[in-house]
Amino acid sequence: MLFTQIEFFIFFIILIILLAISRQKNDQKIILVFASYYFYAYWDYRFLSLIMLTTITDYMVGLCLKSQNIIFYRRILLCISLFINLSILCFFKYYNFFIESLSGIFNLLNLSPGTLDLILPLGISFYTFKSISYSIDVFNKKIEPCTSFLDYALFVSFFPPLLAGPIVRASHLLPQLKTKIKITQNNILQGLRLFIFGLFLKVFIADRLGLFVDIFFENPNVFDSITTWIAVLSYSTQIYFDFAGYSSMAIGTAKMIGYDIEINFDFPYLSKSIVEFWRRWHISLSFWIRDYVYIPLGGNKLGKSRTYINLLVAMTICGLWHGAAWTFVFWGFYHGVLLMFNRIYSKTHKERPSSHQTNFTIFFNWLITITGVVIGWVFFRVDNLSYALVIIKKMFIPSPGIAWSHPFAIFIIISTLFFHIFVYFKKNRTEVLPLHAKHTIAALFCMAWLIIVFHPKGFHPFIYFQF
Amino acid sequence: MSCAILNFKNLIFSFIISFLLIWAASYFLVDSLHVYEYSEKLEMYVSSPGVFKFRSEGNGITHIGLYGINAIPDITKIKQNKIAIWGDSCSEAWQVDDNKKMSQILTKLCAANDIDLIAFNIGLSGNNTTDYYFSIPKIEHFAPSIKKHYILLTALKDTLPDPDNAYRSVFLSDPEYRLAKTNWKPKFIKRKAILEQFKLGFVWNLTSSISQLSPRFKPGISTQNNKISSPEKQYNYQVAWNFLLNKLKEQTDNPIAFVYCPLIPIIKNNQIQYKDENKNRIALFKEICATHNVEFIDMTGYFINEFKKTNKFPRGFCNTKIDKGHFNETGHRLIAEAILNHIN
Repeated sequence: MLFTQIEFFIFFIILIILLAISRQKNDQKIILVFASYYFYAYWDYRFLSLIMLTTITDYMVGLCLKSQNIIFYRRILLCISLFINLSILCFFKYYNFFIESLSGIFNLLNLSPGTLDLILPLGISFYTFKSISYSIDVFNKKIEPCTSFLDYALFVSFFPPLLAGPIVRASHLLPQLKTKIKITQNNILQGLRLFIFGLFLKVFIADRLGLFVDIFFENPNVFDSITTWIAVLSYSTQIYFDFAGYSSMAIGTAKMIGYDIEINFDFPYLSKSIVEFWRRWHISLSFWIRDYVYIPLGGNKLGKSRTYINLLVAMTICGLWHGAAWTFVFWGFYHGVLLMFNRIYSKTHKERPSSHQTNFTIFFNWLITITGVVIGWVFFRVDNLSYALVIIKKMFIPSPGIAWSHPFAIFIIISTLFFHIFVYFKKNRTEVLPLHAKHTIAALFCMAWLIIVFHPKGFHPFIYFQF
Repeated sequence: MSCAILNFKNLIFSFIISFLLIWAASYFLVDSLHVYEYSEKLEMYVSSPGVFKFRSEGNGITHIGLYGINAIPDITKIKQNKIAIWGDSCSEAWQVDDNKKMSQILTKLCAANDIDLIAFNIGLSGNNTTDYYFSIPKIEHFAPSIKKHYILLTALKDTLPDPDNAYRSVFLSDPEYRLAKTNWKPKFIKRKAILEQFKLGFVWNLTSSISQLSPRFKPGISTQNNKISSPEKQYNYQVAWNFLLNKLKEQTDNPIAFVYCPLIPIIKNNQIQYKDENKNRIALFKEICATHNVEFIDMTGYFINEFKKTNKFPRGFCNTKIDKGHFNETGHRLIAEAILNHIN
């Protein structure tokens, strides 16, 4: 079920009513678990079995880890959890990719393993990472194992962030599940505000930009340099609003139920370095990669060259997590290289505190960062790497071709720029539409009208669903 | 804190403010509602006279006159010799302003070349060649001194029997070839007329979105997206077109010419494609036209040459698709020029 479907609105209203009228904490949790399973099964009930397998495995592993103190056995338990979770993920997401990528080697060995008609289970990368983080945290004794199966089932299947994140940590969500849900007017208002804002970003902006972006990225050869820039900037805006929109809707939905989920985006396009960008973009994933890949590899504790290798490995895995294609792998590797250069630059030019930086330095740093990020999105979006090279060449070497200045795309790019400038100079950037302001309700009504009146026809899944 | 903004007064006030803002914005950004009225004289539904804004493709304002004819308030009052340009939504041409429509450009070109002719577009979305068969005698009766009929042919299916969907009339092949009127009637005529009067097109968008909803609550099974295209219908083109053109010629003594507008050039597979997929069938249609003394203008060369010279497509708009859709300014101009060359 998608947040943008009418079925979701009906489902959610019924859920809120049921939660409000049930008095027992456990009843509420049972309702929520069933609601979450229904939410997922609505798309394909067969894949519900995968979520259940993940839930049972990691719940059992957690309980066993609690009673086991011998490190050898604890490691075996962790390996069981990792093996089961990663096997499911690799089979459904990467089997065909590896078979196709290694076809040359298979041919040499006279082997011919065929590809399979696999459907990628929605949200598999998100709930797998969520569950893995739980097992690792329990193994490292950072959190207490969950003793209630109901709580753990709800933690894994909790529907707002189930399909496209944020990747909620057990340490953040499990304690909240212990308290009774209270449906309050304040939570509903706060959640609704986030939900409508996210829906607006997704339906009004991202989906409409997609109509232009899709045509460009299927045919980059035929367009001129200016169109190429407009399209690449449009995609950078589209992916931001699409994903940030989903995250906002997920956080808003959870808030209406009474649970807090941490923010996933913090104006990433205001970043003045690539390190800062990853602290602001898909925060739950970048911190996951940091905590469960980069630091276990040794982080920055094993010397310069090892730090750089760790960065490259962690970011390449991050790229591969996004999709089973070499374009994603290259995108991750590219960001690893950018982070490496960022690190080298920071070490050689001891950065002055931002209060002492000149406006020019700040602007220059921002420009370099945003250019690096935007070039990265080209690799992220294209179907093959040769298209990416064509696009990047057109971006930097003036090339003739068809000129297409899509008015909506230009309007959104300029508006986004001005909005970011406004946010940058605004001292309190936490709330763009403060709850106490009288104009907030009118602004939300306007957004709702715009979504209804200007929504593009057809089905537009969230970009991050493919991951 | 939250109660302060959620009081009833604030909610109503906010709703009204947002409604007014969207109303004002939609005046500039949303299409007018297409309002039909029944014409007793033509015995069919035509667009109601008035001003029509089109924003979802291109950015045109059309002044609709009597019988749904664009840019001319009352065609019956014009005594000059006329050229009728028939077609579907491509002739209706809501996407461009009146002065950029092919009929207006052609009229200007005729005047500049000392040719005493007024051109007018008579198009309705969804029209096919059968519709012209029924409408030509009626229009000739009410708007006399039409000297020639040009029919825009944008899709070959408009000349073929048993179409998947037909509005006002239909070409049938079973049990024998025949042209028949349908009982098609536009929906919600009165409701749309009232909403359009108050420029509340966006409210219509809301209600039509709701009415089109068909919620499903049963959990499902997703499938691989392997679309198998349905096999193309097989026709005896020669027999069907002979029948159609015979019938068409029976309706008027004035010359008829088809203006074939292929869907090229277009962007496809990361390059510009100039090849018309209907080339062979169109060549056959052209041959059959010749045997019936129906003239044929092929726009293929005009479109390709213009694109190679200026990089401009005849179809498409910057706010939708740059290469596909309805005719843009360039397309209208090229068709007008081609018709002028034909007249000369």
